[in-house]
Amino acid sequence: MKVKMKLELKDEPGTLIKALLPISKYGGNIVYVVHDREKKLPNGNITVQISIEANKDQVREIKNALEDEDIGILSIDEVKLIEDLAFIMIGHIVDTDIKDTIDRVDNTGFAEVIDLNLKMPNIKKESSARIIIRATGKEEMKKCVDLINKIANEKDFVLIYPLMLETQNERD
Amino acid sequence: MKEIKISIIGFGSIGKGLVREIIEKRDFLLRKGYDLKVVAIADKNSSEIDINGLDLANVLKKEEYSYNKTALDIIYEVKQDIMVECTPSNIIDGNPGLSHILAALNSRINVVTSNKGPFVVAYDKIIESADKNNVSIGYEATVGGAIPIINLIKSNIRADKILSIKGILNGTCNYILTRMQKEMLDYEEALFEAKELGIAETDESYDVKGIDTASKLVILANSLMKMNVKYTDVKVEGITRITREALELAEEIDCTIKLIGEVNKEERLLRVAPRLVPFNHPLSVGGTLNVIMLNTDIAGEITITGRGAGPKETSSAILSDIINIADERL
Repeated sequence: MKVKMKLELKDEPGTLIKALLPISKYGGNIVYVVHDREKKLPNGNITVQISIEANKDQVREIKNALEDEDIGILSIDEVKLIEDLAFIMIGHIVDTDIKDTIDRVDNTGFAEVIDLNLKMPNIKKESSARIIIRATGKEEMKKCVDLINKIANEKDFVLIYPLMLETQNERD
Repeated sequence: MKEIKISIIGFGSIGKGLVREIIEKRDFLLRKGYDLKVVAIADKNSSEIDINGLDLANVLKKEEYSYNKTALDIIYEVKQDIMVECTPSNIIDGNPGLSHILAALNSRINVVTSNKGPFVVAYDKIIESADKNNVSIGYEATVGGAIPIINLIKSNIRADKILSIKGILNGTCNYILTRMQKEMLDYEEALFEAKELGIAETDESYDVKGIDTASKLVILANSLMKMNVKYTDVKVEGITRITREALELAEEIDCTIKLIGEVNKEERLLRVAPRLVPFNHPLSVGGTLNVIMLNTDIAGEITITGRGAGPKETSSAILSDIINIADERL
């Protein structure tokens, strides 16, 4: 999982490396480090934002090690569910059992429908829905996209994917 | 001064548009050292021929042509450097364009064309024939109208591998979706308006069902990414079921819906489908514009946008190909 940490460091040589060492020691993978020396805290210290990929145990160990080193942890934004994607579906969304559509995503265990917006202009016309799906990671989201595709095929929905589907995967 | 003798096979809107640009650009091209002469034009059943160069303004005025020689007669009998093939596209068997192109190449005549059909059904065969006969084939006008995508990659992106291409390759679909979003029109209303304005053809199915976009995708995949694919390899979904409400739902999350053609080499993915495109994304261009985004291994993303259709825009691509061939071969 991805974890964003905001740390407080003294503006002295060597403090950044002190903050990074525990991360590599416990197997965390640093995604980015933003070291902003322009913005100082009222006490003269500076902040550094670090995004790492690590599992829960590793995060706990890293946190303890940082505290042992007297490095202030301003925040840990532990993002459990990291992939959100919006899709639009067009078809007979309600008549084809909307609850089944949602349940099948929720029952995967790694993804859930976190938002659904439905527009039904009139009974004869096809309705349109926007669903936002949250998955626990990229691979999980890929599986979820396959599932949604399958549901759309079964229920004869037009599925409008987000453009960035593949680009995101290519870049990361 | 280089003399370039061309024939124009297929004298509909594209062929006539080309002749208008040739008249317009005559002095400009002469100053650059190119004396472009149209020695023959051929319509379905009739033709005009003058081996010293036709009086083009006069040809445009005519409703009937003087000779009953066919396209193939002209290819075989009239001495020319380049045959410009502008007959209507047919993606089932590529004809009549394919037979014209192969006849010309096998007669050692260079070819420039705007016709997608032959390239969708027989890309390899055409390229092999050109190579075997040591002549050139220019097909920039088959994809993206005035956007120089093929020549851009062939001439200027030389060491990169093209990983993926995605874009809006059909102006009619883009116009319809743009109008649906801007004016909150239903699909049928926007289509009607597009037909009234001459942006959509009387039979719109080729455009709105995604067939045109898929054909262009096949050409890009084969010619720029060496993928060796056929039309039937493309997953195609058009825009006919897109609703006004879907566009509203997209707009609420700062997106629009565009018909995107996408090819990805590693995933062997070829798809034409309506997609959610953020308003601030480079592919979010409106009206009848086309746009193409490449992703290459060295350069990363490159986006190029411009007018995708119309006789004048297509002429830009055809003339570029003609001059390129003149530089290389004549």
